[in-house]
Amino acid sequence: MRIPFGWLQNYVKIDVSPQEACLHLIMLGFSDAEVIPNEWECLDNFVVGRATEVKPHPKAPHLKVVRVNLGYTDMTSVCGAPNVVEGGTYAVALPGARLGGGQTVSRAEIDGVASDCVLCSGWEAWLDDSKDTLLELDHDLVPGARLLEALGLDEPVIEAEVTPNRGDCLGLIGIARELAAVFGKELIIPEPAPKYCDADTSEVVSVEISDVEGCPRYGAIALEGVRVRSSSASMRARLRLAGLRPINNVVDAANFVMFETGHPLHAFDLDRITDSSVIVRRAREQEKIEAIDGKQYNLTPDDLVIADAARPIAIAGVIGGKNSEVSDKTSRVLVEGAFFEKSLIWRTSKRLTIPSEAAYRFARGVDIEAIPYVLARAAEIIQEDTGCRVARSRVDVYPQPRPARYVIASPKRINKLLGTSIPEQEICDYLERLGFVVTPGRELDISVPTRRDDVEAEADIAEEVARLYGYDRIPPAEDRACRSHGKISQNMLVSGYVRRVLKGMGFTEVVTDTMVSPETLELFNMTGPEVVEIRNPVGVNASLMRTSLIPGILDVLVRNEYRGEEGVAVFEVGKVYSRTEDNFIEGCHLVLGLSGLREARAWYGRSRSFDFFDIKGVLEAVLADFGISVNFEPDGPAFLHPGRSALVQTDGGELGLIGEILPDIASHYGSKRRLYVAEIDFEPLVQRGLVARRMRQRPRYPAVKRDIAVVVPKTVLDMEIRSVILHEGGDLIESVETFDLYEGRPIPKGKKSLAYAIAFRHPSRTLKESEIDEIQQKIEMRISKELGGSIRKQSQ
Amino acid sequence: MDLHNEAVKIREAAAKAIQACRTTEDIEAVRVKYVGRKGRLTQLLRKLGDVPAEQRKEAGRILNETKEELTSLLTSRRSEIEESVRQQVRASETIDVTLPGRKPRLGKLHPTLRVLDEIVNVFIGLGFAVVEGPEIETEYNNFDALNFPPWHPSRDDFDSFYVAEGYVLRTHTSPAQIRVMKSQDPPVRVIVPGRCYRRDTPDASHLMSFFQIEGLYVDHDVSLADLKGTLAIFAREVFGPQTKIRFRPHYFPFTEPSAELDISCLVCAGKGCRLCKHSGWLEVLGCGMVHPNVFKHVGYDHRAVTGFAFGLGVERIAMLKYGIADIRTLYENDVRVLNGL
Ligand SMILES: [Zn+2]
Repeated sequence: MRIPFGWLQNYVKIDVSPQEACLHLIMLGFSDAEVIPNEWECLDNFVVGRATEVKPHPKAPHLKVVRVNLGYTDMTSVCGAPNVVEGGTYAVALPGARLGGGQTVSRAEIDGVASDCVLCSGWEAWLDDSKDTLLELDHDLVPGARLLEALGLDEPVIEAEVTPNRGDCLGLIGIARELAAVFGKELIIPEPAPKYCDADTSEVVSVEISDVEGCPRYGAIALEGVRVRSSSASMRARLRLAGLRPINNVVDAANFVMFETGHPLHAFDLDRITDSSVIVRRAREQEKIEAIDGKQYNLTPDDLVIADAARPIAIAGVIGGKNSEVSDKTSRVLVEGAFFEKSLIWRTSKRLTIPSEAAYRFARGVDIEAIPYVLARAAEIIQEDTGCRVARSRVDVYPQPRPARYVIASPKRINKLLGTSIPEQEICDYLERLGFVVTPGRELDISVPTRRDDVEAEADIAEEVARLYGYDRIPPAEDRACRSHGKISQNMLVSGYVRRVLKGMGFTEVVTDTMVSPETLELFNMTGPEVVEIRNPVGVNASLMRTSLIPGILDVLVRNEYRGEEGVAVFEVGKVYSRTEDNFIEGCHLVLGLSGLREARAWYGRSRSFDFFDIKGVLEAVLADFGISVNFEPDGPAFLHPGRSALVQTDGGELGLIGEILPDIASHYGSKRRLYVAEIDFEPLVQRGLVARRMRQRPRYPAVKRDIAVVVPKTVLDMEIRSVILHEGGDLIESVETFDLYEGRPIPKGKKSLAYAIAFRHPSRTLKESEIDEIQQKIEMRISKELGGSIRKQSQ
Repeated sequence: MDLHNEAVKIREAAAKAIQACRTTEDIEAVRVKYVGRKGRLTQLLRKLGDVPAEQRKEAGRILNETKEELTSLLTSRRSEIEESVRQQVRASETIDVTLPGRKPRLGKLHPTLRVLDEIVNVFIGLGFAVVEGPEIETEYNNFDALNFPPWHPSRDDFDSFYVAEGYVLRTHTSPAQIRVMKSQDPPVRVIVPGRCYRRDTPDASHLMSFFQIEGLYVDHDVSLADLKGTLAIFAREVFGPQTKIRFRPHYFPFTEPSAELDISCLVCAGKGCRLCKHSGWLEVLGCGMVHPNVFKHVGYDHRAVTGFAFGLGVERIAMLKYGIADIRTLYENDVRVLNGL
C-alpha cells in the first residue's frame, strides 16, 4: 500500500516526519513501512515556462521560434508542435534533462536558430503517451518553478505492507485512522455533498442480484451530462503518487475514492448497457468477455459477472468490460459500489491472472455499510469536475442487511492474556479511538465497526489494545519461562547420537530433496502403487515422494566428484514416504555414501580408494554400537553390483542393503568412480535407543588363543567358515577374527587361503589344551568335508 | 676409635664408588652401601653416643656434613647418568616432529540441522519437550483446525502440495499443535521441528521444502509477556547476549494477538546496514497467542487456558549465522562448503 504523505494529511494532521510515521506504522502492524525513493526524480531538470512570443522560423516553415519566460530568465526554444501559442504554459526541459524518449537536452542550433531548451509533450515529460502536442499546464503555475513541485509530485511516499486481515487499511482513511488513534488526533473524513437533481437512478436502470451469496449488496448511482476528459493536474498527481495511471476524469474519480476509502468502484457508460438492465450473476459455461485491458477472458460458472440484458459487461470486482467502458463519447455514467464475496473474487483474479487493484481489495474485504458513502463521494468529485447532474436516489439492492457485531471482553482477561495491567479506562479509550463503541459494565460490551470483519472475539480486541498500548511496552516475563521440564524426542536423541558418531568417522551430513522424479524411481526400480504422488507438482522432476535415500545420496556423490572432491563420504538421516490404499506411512532411513579416495597421498603411506569394506565397516560399527547383530546375505537389488552387494538381515527381517552401485548406473550419472552406498531402516535403532548395558564381569581365567588357516575354493564364503567355527566352539568362543586372505602362489588356482584368530575362554575355570585341540579338530574336519577345504599347518 | 678419620675414609671410598657408577642401578647400590639405613656412615652415626660428651658435638657436625656431601654427590651423578641415557635414546630414535600428523577424516553436520539442534536445545532448557509430526498432513489439521478461513490463499493448489483428497504436504509445523493438544490435556509445552513444503519457485530466499520449528505453550494464565520473555531468552542464547528484540503486530489466522519478532541486526547491531536493509532489525519469526478457535477445535476450554505459539524458519537463522546469502546454497550439498562451516 502506497501512502502519499501529503495526501494522508488530508485525513489526519500529524506533526512528524514521514520516517517517524513509518516507525509508528511498523509498530502498528504494517511491516516494512518505509519512505520510498521519489519515482519522479527524472523530472529534476524540468521547469514551468510561459511562451511570451511565438514567431515563425525564418527558414523552416513548420517550426516556430518561441521565447519562453522562466521567471528568473528568458530562453529561446525552437518548437514544431501545432498547439504552441503565446501566453501558453508548458513544461520546459533545461539542458541536462533526460526526456521521456531517452535523449538528453542540450543547447542546439536548428536551421540557424539557437535553441536553449525543449518545450515538452506529455511523453517527453514522462507524464503520458501523447507525443505530437505540447503538454498544456495550468495557467496559475509560476514560471520558473520546478515541474516536480509545481505538479505536486515531490511529496514523500510511504510504502507499507498491509496484512490480509486488514482490508480496511487499503485506503488512506484506514491508515489515517490508525495514526490518529496512536497520536490521539482527530480523524478527518470528507463529507460528500453533491448537488442532487430530481432524477431517480432506479428509473434509468434496473438492478437484479441473482447470486446473493456472491454479491450481498449492490449499489449504483446515475450521472447525466458528464463531460469526459482528462482530470485536473492535482488529481493526476495524486493518482501518480499512488502508483495509478490517470485515465479520464470519471475513472480517475473512482480510483481516487478507492484509494481514499479502500472501496473499489466501477464506472459504466450507461448508454452502452443493453436495455438499461444490470444483473449480478454467475458466468455461463463458455461465456467470454473482452476486458478493458484489451484481453479476451474465458469465463466459467465459478466467476461472478455484472451483465446487462445481453452479455457480461464486467467481471465482478476484478475488471470492467470493453463493451461498457467509459470513453470520451460517454455522457451518462453509472457508478457501481458493491460488496462481493472475498473468495470468489480471489479465485477468479488468480485463475485469470488479473491482479487488479479492485480484486486485491475485494479479496481482502471491504466495508459493506460504506457503499452509500463511496457512491456519494465519487458523484461529488465527478460533479465538481464536470458539473454533471447526480440522481437524487441511488439504486441499493441489499436483501439481507448484516447484523451489527458485538464482542464481550473483560479488561481483566485482556490484561491476563497480554501480561499487562492496563487500566480499564485506557482500554476503552484505545478501542474508541479505533472506532469501536464500548459500553462499560461488568464486562465491556463492544460494538465492532462494520469495516473490521477481522475482529470476532475477545482475543482480537486484546490485539487492538496491545497495538495501541505498544507491543514494545509489554514487559518480558522470563521467570515463568522455566516452569516445566524439557525433553528431547527419542528420534532426535538417537539420530543426534548417530549423526555425531558418523561425523567423527569422517562423514559429512547432507540434506537432499524429498520430492523426486518418476525417471529416477524407474531407474532404481522403485516404482509401485505404494509411491506417494503429488497431485499438483511444480514440475515432473519433483512429483513423487522418495521411498529411498539412495538416489539422493548418489546425486551428492556424483556432484561432488564433478566439483573435483577427491574423496567423498556423506550421510543423511531422513524421511521416506509410502502409502497404502487409505493410509500414509512415513519412515526414517539412514544412508551412507562413499566415493573416491579414502587416503589422499601423504608422506606416511600410499593413497587408497574407498572400497566395499570401508562402508561395511562403518555400518557394522554403528549397528554393533546399538547391539544389533546382522548378517550380510550376498546379492541385492538390480541397481547394485551383482557381485558386490548384500542384504542386511537381522533376526527380525531385512534391515537394509549395502553395495557398490551398478557401474552402468554410475556412468549414467556421469561418474568415473566406483560408488558405495548403504541404506538401513533407522526405526529399529530409534526403538532400541541409547540403552545402558549391564557391566560384565572382567574375565578371571585366561583365554586360549588358536590360529586356524584354511585353503578353500574361492566360492566358499567367510560367513560359512565362521559359522562352522562358531557352531563347534559354542559358548567357549570369545571372538573370531579373519586376519588373513590370500590368493595366488603357492595357493592353487581357484582357491584362496583364509586365516582365523580364535580366542576361547571359560568364565569359571581354566581351559585345558586338550579340550581346545578336540574342538579345533572338529572344526578342521567339517571345513574339509563340508566346504572342500584343507588345513594349512601353522607353526605356533 | 677416631670418628673423624673413619668419616674421611668413608667419604673418599664413597666418592670413588660414585664416580665409577654407570647406571642408576649402580647409584642406588652405592647409596645403600654408604648412606642407606644400614650403610656405613649411618652405622657410624649410631656410634655417636659412645663419644665423650665434650667431643660429641664436633663429631656429629663432621658426620652430618659428610652425609650431606655424599647425598649431593649421588644426586648429581644420578642426573649425569640420566642425561646421558636421554642423549643416547635421542640419537637413535629421533623423528621429525614437524611432519604433519596422520589426518583422521572428520565430517560435519549439516548447517540447517546444527542450527535446528541448537535451537531445540535452548527450548529444552526452557522446559519444552520435543515432539514430531508427519509431513503428510490432513488438510483439516494444516488449515481448518488452525482457523484458516476456507478462502485463504495458502489452501490453494497454487500454494500447497496435495497428495490426495484432504491430504497436503504440511505448509508449516503448526498442525503438530493440533495433534499434541488433541492427545493431551494442558499444560502443554512442546517444540516441533520438521520439514515443511510450499509451492514456491525456488530462488535466493525460497525453497519448495524447508525446515521449521514450532513452539507451543498452553497453561493457565499464559500471556503475551510470557511469549516475549521466552523469545528474548531464545534470541540471546542463539544470537548472543547483546541481542535485542522487537515485537511488531502482525497477522496469522491461528493466533490473536499476533506478532513478528525482530532481532537487532547481527552485522551492524542496529546502526543500519545492507543485511537489515538499513532498518537495524532482522525479522526472525512469527508468533502470537493461540486463537480461541484453535482451542475450540481441539476441545480445550478457551476460557480456562491461554497459550502462545511461534514458528521459525530454520534456514533463515542458519543463513544469518553462517553468512549465507542464497538459501539454495544449503542444499547443494557441496562438501567443500559444508566442511568449511
Ligand atoms: Zn544491519
